[in-house]
This record gives sequence, structure tokens and C-alpha cells, in this order.
Amino acid sequence: GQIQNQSCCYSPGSKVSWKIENSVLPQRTKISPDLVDKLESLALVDFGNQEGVNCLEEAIRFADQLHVVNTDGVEPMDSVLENSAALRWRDDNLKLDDCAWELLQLATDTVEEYFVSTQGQSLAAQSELPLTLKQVSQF
Amino acid sequence: MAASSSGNRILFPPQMVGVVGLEIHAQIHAASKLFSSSGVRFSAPPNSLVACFDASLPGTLPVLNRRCVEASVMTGLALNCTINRKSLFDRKHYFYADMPAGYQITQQRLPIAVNGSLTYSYLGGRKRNQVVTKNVRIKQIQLEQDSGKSLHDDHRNQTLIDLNRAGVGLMEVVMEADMECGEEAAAAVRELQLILQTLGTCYGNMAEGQLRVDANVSVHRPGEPLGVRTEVKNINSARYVAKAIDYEIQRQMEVLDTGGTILNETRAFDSKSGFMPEPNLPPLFVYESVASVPAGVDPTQVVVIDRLKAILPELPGVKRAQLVEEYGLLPEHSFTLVNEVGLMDYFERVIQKTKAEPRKVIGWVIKELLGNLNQNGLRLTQSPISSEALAELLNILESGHISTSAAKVVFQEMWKLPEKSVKQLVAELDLELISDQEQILQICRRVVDAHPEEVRVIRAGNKKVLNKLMGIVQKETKGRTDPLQVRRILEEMTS
Repeated sequence: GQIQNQSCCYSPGSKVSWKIENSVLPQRTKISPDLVDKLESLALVDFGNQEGVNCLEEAIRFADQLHVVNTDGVEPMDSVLENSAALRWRDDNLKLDDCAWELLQLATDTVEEYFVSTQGQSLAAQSELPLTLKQVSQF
Repeated sequence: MAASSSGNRILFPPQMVGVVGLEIHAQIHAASKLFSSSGVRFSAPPNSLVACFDASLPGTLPVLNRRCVEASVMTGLALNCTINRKSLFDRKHYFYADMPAGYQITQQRLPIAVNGSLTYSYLGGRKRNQVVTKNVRIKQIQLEQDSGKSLHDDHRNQTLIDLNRAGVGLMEVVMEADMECGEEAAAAVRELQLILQTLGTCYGNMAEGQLRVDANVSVHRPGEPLGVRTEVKNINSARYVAKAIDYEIQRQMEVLDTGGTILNETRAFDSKSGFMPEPNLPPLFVYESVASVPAGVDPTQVVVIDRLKAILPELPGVKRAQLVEEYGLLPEHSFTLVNEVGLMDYFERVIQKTKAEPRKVIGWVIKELLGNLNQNGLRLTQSPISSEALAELLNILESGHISTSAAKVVFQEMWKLPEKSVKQLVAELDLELISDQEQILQICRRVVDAHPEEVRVIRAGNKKVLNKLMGIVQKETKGRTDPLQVRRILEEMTS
């Protein structure tokens, strides 16, 4: 699809197309620098330049078209496969392959068959007990 | 004041109580992982059980393991839950090195089972011999992926990642905040563990990380609003469940008592709303009965609740009630039998081989056997006394060849010398009951004659002193006399 100045239009081919005037759409969302920072830390994606911000704002604009649709009483779908036969499953069988070995070969950095995590990312240090075991055992 | 399970007294400010909820992660006992066919094993070489999907390589997709669904449905049934015929999978986004995809597949919106309950007990009262029974509501059970493991190497400032555990199926069991202290929480966890082990859906070995407990703890005065919650995370030892929770309750009470406020450090995740539906997995359907499986779907390929209901084994609560009914045991005894690994089987094996009454046998199994095992830090499998040997001892006691006190002496010797037979020990220790009536009368006569002062006191009305004379006779005969008989004789002689 493309977004033009006066309206949004989409033409996948000759069969289906639509055109929505800008005037019926909500106000265009501007991404503030603070929001860029927050999104960058949440998504771990570096997009904090003009081109990146423009791209994001255009994507939001494209999605704004949904506001024109009347969705009263309609449950949103999160999968088009909603009938009961859609989910395929497998038996609890072990499959032995060399995938693990191949994956280790792919890694740039390993230490004795462990992958090494890159530092410098904002990874939360979780699962630390607020208590030390020594404190608890003395209780 | 109330006692914590660790025996310490928690000093409660007037009427403050603890409020404890639990989130328990139980690793599903299965051959393969939740969404991939790599194996599930503790202590395998690092990164040896990793499929391409587990490492989140592009182009891989999740394929649900039916065994995991069955396990979660069975667990839901055992916990009196409503099984959701339709449940959904979601992605929970957060970044951590041991989760390569950047999200965990879980069931946040609509989990497989909801609204259940768990009845649990513990031994309370002053002497810890009264069965206290409580109930906790089960909010839900959800299927989700386990993460890999990280080892922090602070020395070299790096983190080492092992993905063997990444993608293993978990059942997260959420228990509402119906518990008040560490002892209740620990008892609830123990009962859940027993149920899961009985079902075979999780082996519950906490040391191997198969069962992990997160506790949500707050304090308040009943009637007042709930206090600020803190989380005690990743408790992976049965002993520390109670201790860690009680410690946190105590800490919060002290903070509040001195006018401070409780800080909630976690729960930051919820405010970021990192959930979205899992687009690669359509809704999960399970069916009530074979009849309700739609046409065109192979009933052998789907999960049918009735089929699972039919194969549910006998749960611990039922076993306890049966023991009480079949053997006339006290509730606290049947509780201990089911609670200790293997003890019920041991007890039943002894019962089979002895004529002694179950009520007598239980005393020996719990007081003597279990008591000694606990004192020496041994598990039942390490017991020097087998069920056959104990049965033999009880038979000799029943047949009147030795007294009860002598039997206890023999028991201790059996413990030290398991290779010797019971008969051998009884003979070696010379503990057979004296059968010669004349000999017993003579000994009693001698003791009575040697203690005129005591006899006078007894004749004056203080019958308790008779016990002292009995003790002397027992000592002289090295416990080889029947106490009842001796008492009769002495009573006659001092009347």
C-alpha cells in the first residue's frame, strides 16, 4: 500500500481497492524523542533517526484507517484459524538430530559448550532472591 | 504470638496477619518439550538438548506436544478446576539472554484450567500432632515454556547460556492469597507435590528445579485493605518455602511497625503490557467426551476429558481416608504415612507379615522407625531395618517372648547390626521374658524386702511409689518381665 497526501489507498491488484480521505482519520501521531527512547529500550531496536521515526509514524498512519470501521459488537480475531481442527499437535516423541551441535558452531562466542551472552544490553537481572540464604537459615 | 514452622516465634504487632499467594511452576514430565521434539533431561551436557525452534532460529514454528495438554488437564481435574474447552496462547515479551525468542509462549488471556481448589493439611497444635486442614483456591493453571539457564561469570563479566531447559513444558499453578504464613504455604506446596507425583504429570523434585515456587507476600490487619505485595522468587527447596515466606512477613511487619512503607520492586512488567496473542498457534480445543468431538476430527488424535477422568489415580486425600478406615488409624498417623515418601508401602508390608494390630504397628513405624531415621538424617530407602525385620520383631513381641521395653532395646541393636537376625539378637542380648513364675516372685519379694520405707508409703495410700518399685524390678531383670504381671504381684505384696 501507499500513503499519499490527500488520502490513503491500497490496490493489491485490479480486484480490491479502497480510498479513505485524510479528513475522516484522527490526528496524525507524532513520536516524541522520549517515546523513541522508551520504544528503543522495550524493543531493543535502534531506530532513533529521522528516517526511522518517519517510518514508524507512517505505519501508525496506515493503521489509523481502522478507526473508520464500525466494530461495535465485533470480537477481534487474533487468528484466522479459529475452527477446532486447526491446531496440529504431535506425539510426545523424542527426535534426535544434530541441531544442537550445529547451533554451537554458528555461535561467534562459546565457552565449553555454553553460549556467551553479549554485554552492554539492558537486560534485567531477574531471579535474585531479595534475601540471602544465610539470612533465611539464621531465622 | 504464633509459631512459624521453623519453630521460631513470629512477633506479630497486634492482630497483623500475613497474606500469602503462590505461583508454582511445575515442569511437565514428558519425553520432549512443549513445542519442539528435543529431549527433557536434567544434567545433560550443556546445549545438547536444543532444537532449532528452542534457539529461536528464523523459520521455525511451535508444534504443541499433546502429552503436555493431557498433563495439564489431568492436573486441572485433580485440583477440581473447570477445564476450558477452548484456551489460547500468548506471547509474553521481555528480554533475557536465556530466552532467545525475546518472548515466552504462555496462556495469559484464557488458560487451560481455572477456578479450582486444593485441600491441604499440616500437623499443628502445641504438640504438632493435630491435623489442621485448610483450603486454598486455585485461580488457574496455564501451559507455558520454561526458559534456558544462565550462569553469571562475574569474574569475566559475562553470562553463559545453556538452552537445554528452554522450551520445556511448564504448568503454572496460581494459588490465591488464602494462606497466612510460611507453614500453610509449605503444606500447600507439599500437597500439590504429592498430587502431581501421584498423577505422574510432574515428578516435583525441587532440587532439580522441577517444582519452583514464587510467593506473593503482604501483611495487614484483618478487615483493613491488603498491604503492598512483595515477591519472593524462585524458591527451590521445600525447607525454604516456609522460612523464606516467614522471614518476609516478619520483615514487612517490622518495617510497618517502625513507620516505614513496603516497596514493591517487581510487577514492573505488568505496566509495560508486553503481551500479545501468539499468532502461530490457533486456539486449543479439548473435548468433554468422544461424542462431542466434531465430525471429521479423529478422536484418537484429540484430548478427551472423560478419557482422562477415567484414568485418574487415587489421590493422596483418598489414600489417607482409606488408611483411617481400613486400619483404624488416627488422622495424624495416616497424614504422616502419606506425607513421608514410601512410608505407607512400608507400613502395609509390615501389616501383611505380622499379627500385631495396625494401631500397634503404626506406633513402631512412626515413633521408632521414622523417629530414628529423622534423628540420623536418613531417608526410608536407607533404613537399616527392613519391613520384614520389623514384622519379625513385632511377632516375637506379640507372642509374649519379650516385653515392650526389651523390644525397643532389640530395635536399637537391629539398627546397629542389620546383618543379624532378630532371633539372634534376642538370644544374644538375653532378653527373653522370664517364664519361671517362681523366679519372678522371688525377685519381687527381694525388692519389696529391700525397700521397707517405700512399702510403708504405698500402704499409707501413695500408690505412685509403686512405679519406683516396678522400675527396680525391671532393672534387675533387664526388662525381661511383663510389666502388668509385675505390677499385680507388687500390688499384692504391698497391700
